[in-house]
Amino acid sequence: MLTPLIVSWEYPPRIVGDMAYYVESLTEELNKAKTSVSVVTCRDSTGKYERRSDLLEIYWASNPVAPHISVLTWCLTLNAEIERIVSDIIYDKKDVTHVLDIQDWHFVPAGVSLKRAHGLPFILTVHSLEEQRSPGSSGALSSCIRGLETMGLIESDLVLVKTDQMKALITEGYEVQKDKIVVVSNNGPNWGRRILAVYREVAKGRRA
Amino acid sequence: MQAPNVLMLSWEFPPRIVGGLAPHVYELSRALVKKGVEVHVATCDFPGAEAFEVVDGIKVHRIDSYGYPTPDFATWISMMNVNLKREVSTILSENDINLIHAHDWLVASASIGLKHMFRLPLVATIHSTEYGRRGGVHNDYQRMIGSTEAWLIKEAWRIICCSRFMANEIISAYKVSDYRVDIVPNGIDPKPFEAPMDLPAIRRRFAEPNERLVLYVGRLVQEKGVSNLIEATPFLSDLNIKFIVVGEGYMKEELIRRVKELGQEKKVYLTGFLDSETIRGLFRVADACVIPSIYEPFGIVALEAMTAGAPIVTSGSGGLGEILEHEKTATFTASNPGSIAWGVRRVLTNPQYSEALRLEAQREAASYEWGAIATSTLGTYSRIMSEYNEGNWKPSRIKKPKVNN
Repeated sequence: MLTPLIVSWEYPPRIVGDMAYYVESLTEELNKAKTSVSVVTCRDSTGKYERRSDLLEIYWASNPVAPHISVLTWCLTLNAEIERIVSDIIYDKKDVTHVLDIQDWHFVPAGVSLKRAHGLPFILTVHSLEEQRSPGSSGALSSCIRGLETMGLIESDLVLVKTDQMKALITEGYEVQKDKIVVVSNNGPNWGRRILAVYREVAKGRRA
Repeated sequence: MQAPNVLMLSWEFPPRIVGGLAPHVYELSRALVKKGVEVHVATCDFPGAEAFEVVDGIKVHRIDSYGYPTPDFATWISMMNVNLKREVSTILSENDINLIHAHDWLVASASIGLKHMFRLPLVATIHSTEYGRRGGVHNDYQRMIGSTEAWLIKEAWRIICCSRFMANEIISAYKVSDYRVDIVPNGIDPKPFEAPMDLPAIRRRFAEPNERLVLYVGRLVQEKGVSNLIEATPFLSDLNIKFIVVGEGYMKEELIRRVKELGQEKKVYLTGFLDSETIRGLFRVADACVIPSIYEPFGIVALEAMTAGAPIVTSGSGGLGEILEHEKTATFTASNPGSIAWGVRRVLTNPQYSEALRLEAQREAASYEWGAIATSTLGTYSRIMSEYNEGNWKPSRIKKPKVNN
């Protein structure tokens, strides 16, 4: 049995931007395809686990350190908690094959370490790049985020994007081979099934 | 019980030496290796140092510590931990390692992530705390570091402190149960202090023949109390002393300015960074060594002065009060210039007294040999491994990806 582990820094009710809606739609699409999904996300809450349906589990991570001086230190500290939660899931569910789908840069360090520690197939879904969010920024914070994006693009087994334009940006800007990047638009029909096919492909052979 | 194979995580390891952590981790690891323990050290890279090498039996892995710009030190530490965790994930996958040993908050994030991914027990040595270093926490930056220390302490199976003073600080500041804390002091290797050296040449390099040499070795930061020593120098102008102040730190410029204001330029020499051999030579030729710390979790400089035979004048703060004893192995003073001047004068003008202090301190230093410190550390490891082996929290085989179309 294949269970995707989708790791995102936002998921309803925590909504920061579009990523929360994308991940929610993705879980619905995967569930329609009878695929069980675990979402590992974050929220400062006493609740740590929620089963929304037979096919959807939500694990909430809360930051073990407070306060923080920036979004970067906040994210990087939270990565260790993501590693703990994901490791507990895979130790507890030994008969399940998991695929990690990390959304954007926030939890790239966890994706990289979990792949190396457990041999987990690691997919990076890119919604946007720091270069788009902060064009031309030479600030140190942006530089760190670009460094994390690069690490994710290099170390992941496969990169998922929603548009051909994003694929072109990554291949030109980050020297990532074209065949490592798969475009699946979330507007078309059966897009969830197409992503499921990607998960299966990566789980079978770790394409990278 | 068989000794566990250990992976140490430390942000500094020779030749990268920032403070006391590097020599501590090196000497402890070396002593553990001598006792048959397999020790890996994962640490930051350093120009010219190998990415992997075996040093005195220690397997040293130097990782890319992130050389790009970061907004501040704490963010660099976060990025360094990302790289450390990434590389150590591979090291742990490829080696039979049973226990992770973290040194201070600087490697907390990597240590805790690795602990959970590999389900290995984690022991943490807390060398000092943000609360102690800053005299409390006063802003969000310091609060974040303090919170990271609390996180590491919470996640560690056991905590090692170098002194009762530090243990009490951790127990009160972080609400830790006493039973989780082990006190294992720092150690010292006496051999380098006994090596043949041209001591008269060292003395000539730093002081005139008719000058007495009073030594300070340590970082030039507020918590070390070095400004009290500088302020004490005019009180001792009749004794023809050359004060040698060894070390670097953010207070250096301020101290240089103050020395000029006091008219002590000819009597106070701020040397900056010196190599270890020269510092050992200075300890051996010093007529007195002043350790005026305001906050001192342990005070390894005291062990160095004791081993080298330099009579000690000290505030006796923190761990210093546990290593040294007033009128037996050192002269204790208050943390103010007048009292420090009194202590220095007492040592320099009473040769029989200072000789008695020197000899007793040298005898006492022998009990801090690294072999004994490694044995105590092994005691902590054994206790952890025994509890770990009895429990259920362990890694289990994970199914490798196998998917049908």
